[in-house]
Amino acid sequence: MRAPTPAKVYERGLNQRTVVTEFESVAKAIAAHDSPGYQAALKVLGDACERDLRIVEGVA
Amino acid sequence: MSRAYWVICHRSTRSLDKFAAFTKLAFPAIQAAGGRFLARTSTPARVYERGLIERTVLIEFEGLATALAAYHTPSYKEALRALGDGAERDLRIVEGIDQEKKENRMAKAYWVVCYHSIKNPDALAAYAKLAAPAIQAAGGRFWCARQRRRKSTSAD
Repeated sequence: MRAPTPAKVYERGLNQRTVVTEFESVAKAIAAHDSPGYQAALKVLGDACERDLRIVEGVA
Repeated sequence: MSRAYWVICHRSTRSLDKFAAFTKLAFPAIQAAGGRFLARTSTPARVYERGLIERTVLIEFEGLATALAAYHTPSYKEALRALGDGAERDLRIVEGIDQEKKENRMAKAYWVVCYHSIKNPDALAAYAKLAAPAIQAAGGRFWCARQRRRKSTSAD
């Protein structure tokens, strides 16, 4: 398996795993994070990674 | 062909004046280079873990070559000169996982996850196995950076 890293980084960009996921709404995006299934996944992750996770609204 | 994305996460914005001068030039430069802004905000709705409440931008391009070329156009370079040291940006260009069906795009929100470091790959793999179905069950659709799958061709 190949590591899902960027094709190219610039400036302070880190050549590290990057994931973008789309949702129908901000509310659903937040609810997904708070879902029991995802919270269970986070417990398994523990402190294995340092991640910057942001939920942003799309341009209308 | 997979689409490609610019994922920009500011770590800090030092000069709002320089940043304003930059965006005035950068916005048309990106559009002229084929980029489409999907998200553009200085105030994420929510941040988690090491997430910062800072400028976050997602731009979509037709393909990787277009996405790479956009950074090097004369007009974007001019924008970057205006920015100077006005912001500390983590800018990553990533490919989409496969051909996307854009016709009925209804996305109004995105999770943008930029890893800074991975200390324990096994724990990450175990996490991913649980997280992917949980996110999909909650209505999320991945575009970038699940494990890349390549269709085998005779050229491989």
